[in-house]
Amino acid sequence: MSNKLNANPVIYEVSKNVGRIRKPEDEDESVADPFDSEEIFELIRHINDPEHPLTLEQLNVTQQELISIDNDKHHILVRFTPTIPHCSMATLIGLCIRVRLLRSLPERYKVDIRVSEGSHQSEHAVNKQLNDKERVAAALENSHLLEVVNQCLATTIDK
Amino acid sequence: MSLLVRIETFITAPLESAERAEALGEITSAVDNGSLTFLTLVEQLGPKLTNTDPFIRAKGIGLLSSVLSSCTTQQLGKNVSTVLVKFYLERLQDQPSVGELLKGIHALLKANAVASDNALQIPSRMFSEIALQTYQQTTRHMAFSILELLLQHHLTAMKFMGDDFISGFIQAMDGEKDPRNLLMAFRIAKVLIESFDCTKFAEDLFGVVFCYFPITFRPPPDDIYGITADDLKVALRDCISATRLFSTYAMPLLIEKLASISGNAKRDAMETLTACAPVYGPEAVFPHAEHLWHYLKEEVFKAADDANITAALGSIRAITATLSSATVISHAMKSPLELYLEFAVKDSLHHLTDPELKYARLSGKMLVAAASSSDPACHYVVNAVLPSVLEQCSARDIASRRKTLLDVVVDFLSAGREVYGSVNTEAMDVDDDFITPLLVFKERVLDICIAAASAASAYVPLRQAGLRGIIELLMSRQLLAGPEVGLALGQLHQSLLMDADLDARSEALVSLVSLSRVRPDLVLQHTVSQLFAQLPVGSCTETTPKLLSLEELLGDVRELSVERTLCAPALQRLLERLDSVRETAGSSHGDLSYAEALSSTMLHIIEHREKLPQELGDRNDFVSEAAESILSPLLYKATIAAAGKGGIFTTTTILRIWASIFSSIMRQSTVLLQEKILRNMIDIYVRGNTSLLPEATRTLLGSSSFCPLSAEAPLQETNASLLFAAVICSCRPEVTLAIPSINEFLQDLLVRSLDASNEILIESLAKSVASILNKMHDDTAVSGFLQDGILSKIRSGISNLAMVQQYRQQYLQVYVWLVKALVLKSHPLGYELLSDILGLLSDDSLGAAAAQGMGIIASDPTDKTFTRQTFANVKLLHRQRLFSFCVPRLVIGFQTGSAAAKQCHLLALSHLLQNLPKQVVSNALPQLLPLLLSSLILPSPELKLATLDTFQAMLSDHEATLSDQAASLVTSLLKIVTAKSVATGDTMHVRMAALKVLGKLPECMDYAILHPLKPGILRDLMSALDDPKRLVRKEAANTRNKWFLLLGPKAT
Amino acid sequence: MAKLELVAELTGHSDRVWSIAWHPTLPLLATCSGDKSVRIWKRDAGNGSWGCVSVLDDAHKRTIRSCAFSPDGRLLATASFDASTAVWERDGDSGEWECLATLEGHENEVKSVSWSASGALLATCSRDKSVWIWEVVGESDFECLSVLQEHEQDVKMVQWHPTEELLASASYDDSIKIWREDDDDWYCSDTLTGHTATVWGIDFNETGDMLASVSDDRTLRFWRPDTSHSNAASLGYRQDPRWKCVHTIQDLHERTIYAVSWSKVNGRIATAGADNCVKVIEKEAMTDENAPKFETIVSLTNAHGQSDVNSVRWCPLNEFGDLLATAGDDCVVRLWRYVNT
Repeated sequence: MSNKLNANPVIYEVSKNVGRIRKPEDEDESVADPFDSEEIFELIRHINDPEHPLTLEQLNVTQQELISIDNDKHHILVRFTPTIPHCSMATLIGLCIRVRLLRSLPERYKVDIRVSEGSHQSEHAVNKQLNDKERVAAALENSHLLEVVNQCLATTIDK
Repeated sequence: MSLLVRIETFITAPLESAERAEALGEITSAVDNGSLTFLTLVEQLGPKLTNTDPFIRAKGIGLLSSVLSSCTTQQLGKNVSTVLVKFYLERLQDQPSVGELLKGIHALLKANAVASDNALQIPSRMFSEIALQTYQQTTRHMAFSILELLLQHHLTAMKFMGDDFISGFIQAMDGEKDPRNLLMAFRIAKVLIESFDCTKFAEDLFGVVFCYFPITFRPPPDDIYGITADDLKVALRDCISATRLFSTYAMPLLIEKLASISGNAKRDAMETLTACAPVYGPEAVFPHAEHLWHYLKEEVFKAADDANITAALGSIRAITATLSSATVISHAMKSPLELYLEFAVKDSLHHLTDPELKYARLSGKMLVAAASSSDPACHYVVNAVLPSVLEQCSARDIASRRKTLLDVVVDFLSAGREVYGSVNTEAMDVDDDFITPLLVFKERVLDICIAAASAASAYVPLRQAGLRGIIELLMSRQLLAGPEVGLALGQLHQSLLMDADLDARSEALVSLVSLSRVRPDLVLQHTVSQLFAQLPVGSCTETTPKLLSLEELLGDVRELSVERTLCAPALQRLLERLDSVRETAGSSHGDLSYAEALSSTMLHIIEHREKLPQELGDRNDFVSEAAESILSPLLYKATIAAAGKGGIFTTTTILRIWASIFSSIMRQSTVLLQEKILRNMIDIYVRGNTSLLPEATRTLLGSSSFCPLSAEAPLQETNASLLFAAVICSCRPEVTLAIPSINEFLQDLLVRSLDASNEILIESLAKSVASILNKMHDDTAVSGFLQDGILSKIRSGISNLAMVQQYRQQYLQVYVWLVKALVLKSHPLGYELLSDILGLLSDDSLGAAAAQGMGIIASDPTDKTFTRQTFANVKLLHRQRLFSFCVPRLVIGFQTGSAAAKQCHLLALSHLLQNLPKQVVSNALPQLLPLLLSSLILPSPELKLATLDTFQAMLSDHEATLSDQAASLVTSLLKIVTAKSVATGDTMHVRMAALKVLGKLPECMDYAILHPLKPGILRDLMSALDDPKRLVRKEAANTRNKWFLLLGPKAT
Repeated sequence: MAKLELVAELTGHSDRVWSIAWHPTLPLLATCSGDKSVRIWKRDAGNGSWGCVSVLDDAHKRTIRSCAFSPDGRLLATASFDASTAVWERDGDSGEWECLATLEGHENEVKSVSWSASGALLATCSRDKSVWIWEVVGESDFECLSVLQEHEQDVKMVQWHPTEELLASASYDDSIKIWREDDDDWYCSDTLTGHTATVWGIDFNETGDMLASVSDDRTLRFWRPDTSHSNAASLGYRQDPRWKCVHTIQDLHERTIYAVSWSKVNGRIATAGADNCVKVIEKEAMTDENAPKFETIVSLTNAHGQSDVNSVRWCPLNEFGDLLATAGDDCVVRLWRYVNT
């Protein structure tokens, strides 16, 4: 924490209406609600940045527009934008998103996580690592790393 | 038993032993009753006191001292004590006895039995004979207490001793480590410094004291003396800052500390500095001022934590204040203050002009701290700094930078208020000879603030800063005058009404609310009127383009009406708007919701007065006013509407809100006022006596009748009974009803409620009667009334199978309210009737209703009726009694009952559990858990929800009890969330509730218990993540993530 | 019409199953999983049903990524994320497996282990980018012969040639390397490039004159050594034949392909991947060895429900040559029979 890579990041206004607007059908048992990008966004917006006491949403790292979902193919693509192009935390942030979704989405969804195009110097490397399930599995058996990830995810819990 | 024997026992018996204590007791009482004199005691002790064994000697002395400290003092004549003091002092070189000796001396001093000339010998002997630091803590403690007593009782004598005392003390204290002793030593030192001439010893005294700085003491975990580091810090600080003599030694050292240490110690150093500066005076501070500025700046900029920043700013303020007090020798040369500030400004200004403005705000704070210390300081800094800040404020184009600078300006404004007062500060508290330096800048500042507040920039904080500036201006004494006030207010309104951004709006609102405290007149004249101008008159058609939604406008009105002087007029205008609403034929839904919004705003304002403490609220004036200006008009309005048999003022939506208004006013009313209101109510509602209505209302009413409590009256009319119940149920017990026969009255109401067909009317009447019965003092009268026919009528009605189920239920409903009234006051009859209801739980057609009834009996109604707030007679522990009465019956009923009956019993049980103080539940929990768990299997959603709520509540307090059942609880919860089948009663809300309970487990149960369950839970929750309903999925995800974060004690 | 019929479903693992190894001589297979255990499954000679006969769960502290039986079937090697490789011996009578040795040396996760045809050599690879060659000395001793560090990224899999002492390794650096020995000196004789993403799986055909590889680029590629000595260019240094890609099946799966298995019994090829599919591919007879043709004859979707399929292996025994084992993220191992009706 001592010398942060990006000492004073720009903080963005988070969308004022917290969470999605309730619709009557939300309460209607007979209607099945499909997963949508907003729901995915809700899951990751409150993840804490590894460096700053701010959420990925506040840092504009995650945006709903950068999430796409295909319910027939059970495929989800989450893109995120590191605060700076040489952010060494990019992989860690991606890992946090990956883990949060692993824990929060049904198995049938195949999730790809990438940094948004041109937003990072080593875009290819980061993407490759984030989507290698073996690497992710190994990372999650590393207790120190897991601790960091859990800390970042602690803020997603709503008591 | 002879004295000698007792002495022997005392000496020989083990310490702490009973006989030793006994011996001492007997000797003491002998002394007390005069049968034994001290001199004889000493004689008899002789052999012990001269014994060759030092420990015998010590014990001998010990006996004497113990007697001294525990005996009553009248036996201690002056000459006796003289002898004793002499005796003690002579022996001081007898090391093993010193502890006991000091104990004796202390006892004598404490008894204030020592003459000053004797007292004088004590310290000199002590200092010469005893090397204090070679003794144990208790002895040292005794010695310090003696010195403290000496200074308390014989100060003049001690001053006579002068230097010897000081030097002796310095030696005695040198090297002291024990916090208890130190605390005392510091106190003593302070007295010496203040009342002795310490000039000669200043350096030594300072050395022996300052060596403890900074205090690093941390009290042990099992600390029984309760001495905190802060106690020591403060005591030490008092010493250091006690005399100017220390300044020469202290200043360099403090600076050195500031430079070296960090964190808490540094804060300590700064706070000490703040305390010392005024005492040491300008001569001492000035030479170091620039140094200090540097270190303090470093601290402010490093921003370790806010407390340190505050401390640093405090020091700056103190230093500047001290320098302000310097007497100026000649006006030719610059005063210390000027030199200092000149330097400070020079050092800071570039931060305020640097394009990045990284340290602008902080430098600003430092300058402001200096400015806030005195009038001259304020003048100097403001004139030196503000122009260039304002200059840039207008020049800068990047919003965030402008904001930073504006913040600095605002800080200056509030500093100005510190020095020159606020608009509401009493004239005597401020010196009007001082003119604020801000005066000359006010126009520009106002312009800049308004510009910022109205800035089109997307950067909201800028607008907020502008608003903060405006409010500071408005609140500052001497600043804004007539037209400027108008301008400032205008901008606040602009932001309040026009700004699209929520935060900016609320900033404006907050400002106005704080303004309303000091200038209510302004806010009322302008703001409130502005808001009401936006509120539609007459029907609420959305034709006129609204800047803000009704809710927003009314919300603002509500916030502003917190101020007492504003709430009456606000209510009045709300009522006027309500009058204007088209309420009869052709009234649209818009009208209804408008009326609703207006009414609930009134309710909020009135209920807010209740929350205030009596004295603040000047409740009586307010409420009698409100009774006149609000309650009565609404009452008449309802009457006309009801008589007109329709319109929105007969809808329960509106009437319920009005009922709450009535109740709130009643709750705040005195007995007298309540009786007045009540009389009016009964006349109109019970007697149908419309002649009391005001002329206007009567004419409107015309020939049409008004009997809202009659079973025959049409529904719209009887809805008005809500108001009746509200008033009756909020009466104080002292209130007398203006009616010939209470029994007939109650009888009448009950019969009406039994015959009524309007649900509202039934409940209103039942509650009214129940409330009156509950508040009756005479319990026999209560049972008398009930058992005189009416009860049997109701009972037979309930059990009359020939009757239509609906009527049986109606009778039961009335019955329930009566039972509630009695159970609350723990009236014996209550429990007799209660068992009837419990019996009905097994009734095929009434079971469910009975269960609901149990809910009503166990819970507090949302409308506050039958609670202490409405003066109900609520016996302590009545719920416990209710619970212990019902639970065994419920358990049996459950075990023996049919499937349907089981359900009703469980439902009743969950009602009880949810309304019970948790500690009561815990005892019964073990026997109840099986029931609760089985109710999670039954297909009733209501029941499941109720039970899950119970678990939710119980988890926080009774995890221990639940722990044994954790596994089975988890199993049934998982069944619910994985099955997802509405058919088995697992509706989405049940599923969500179940997930919530699952999610609560990790927070409150032991890891050891949960760990084995974790894998299974994580696996099964997978399927919940795929729930068809999004809301459930959200809950599931949250719960599952909680479980992932459950990692146990050593999770690495 | 060819298809895969489900023969058995082996449940017991409590976390994703990573890979499968068939016993060379018995109707028995080993599977390893994220639950840090290896399970041994055996076919009951009586009713022909399959069941778990032992669980090896006391050697590794982390995920066991891969396992392999020695050619004589006496030893089982397991590679784990805990950076170690364990070798287990099967007690002839009790049939119980006991840990014989633990091979330490890799800096971090060991990802694959493979026995040479002779059983005298063992190869392991790791995220530390290295491939290690171990020699079996005596009863229970293993000695590191060579540490090969030419891959630029972690090495995902190692596979010995079915007959010769030639090793192939697949890597996260998108390449495959061929390793040979020249009197105790192991060297990289060839680097096979062409895949555009991580190469996850490789397997030789029965004779070892062809190599199949699958990748994150969703292609299946076939390689063979270019033995036509016509052009010297095709010869690596030390005159080893160069391997060249003789066929590529594009977009075989919709997502990453994790495994490929080339039956030594009937020459069929099976692949599995993150699209939940298992495919069977057959080489068309009578095609030019240097331009072979292949066709996909079975495409089984959701072989493990909605889960990734991590491993696929043909049974090496002649009488069970049509048996195919698959393992998935659903913690289940499935046995399929290839039938052609």
